[in-house]
Amino acid sequence: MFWKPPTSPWLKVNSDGSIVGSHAACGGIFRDHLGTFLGSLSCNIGIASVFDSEVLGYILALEIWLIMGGVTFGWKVIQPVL
Amino acid sequence: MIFKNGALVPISLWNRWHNTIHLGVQIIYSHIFWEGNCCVDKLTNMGHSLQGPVWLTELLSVVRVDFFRGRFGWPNYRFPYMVFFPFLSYFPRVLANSNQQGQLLSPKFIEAEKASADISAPTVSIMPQGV
Repeated sequence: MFWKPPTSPWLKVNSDGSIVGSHAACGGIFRDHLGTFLGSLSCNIGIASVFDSEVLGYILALEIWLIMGGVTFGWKVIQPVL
Repeated sequence: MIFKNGALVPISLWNRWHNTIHLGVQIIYSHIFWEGNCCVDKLTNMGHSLQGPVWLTELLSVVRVDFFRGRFGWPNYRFPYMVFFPFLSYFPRVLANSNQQGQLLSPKFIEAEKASADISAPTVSIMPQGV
């Protein structure tokens, strides 16, 4: 399995959720078309299901992107990938 | 899945989800397996030891190797040693067929050992009764 860069104006967010016991966590990493590292996020959710953690991964990626990334890097679009 | 069908979003997250997707961001989504997501897998596992969301602007040493693997276009497989070094998959069998000193034992010797064990086991159990 290869990491494929997105096409030029897009960014790629790889996000994921995981469960250990009943405690959930999610994470994500932002990269542009050159594979440049733009930022990453990781979050402890507490007690939640697998699906909850994955969905919260998407939500956090989009929210954090809009709060911090959208201003800092000046890109307009986002591409989340599970 | 939830991008296609919004009703699948958990009720506890639905309001937040609704607010997020209606912010006017254009999204393309797809699904991949975790072998292609090794970086994020490690970040997520790190998330278990955190409290609340953490935003990192620098590359962590934990994910550095996987990050550059992805950047150089190197592949990630679930069982990498089976792909590149097929002979390594014999390693557990070699361990099972070796004795304490690490010497390899032939199948004949192992069968003889088993046979002797089968013979000796009943004698040991019978001996106390005989005495």
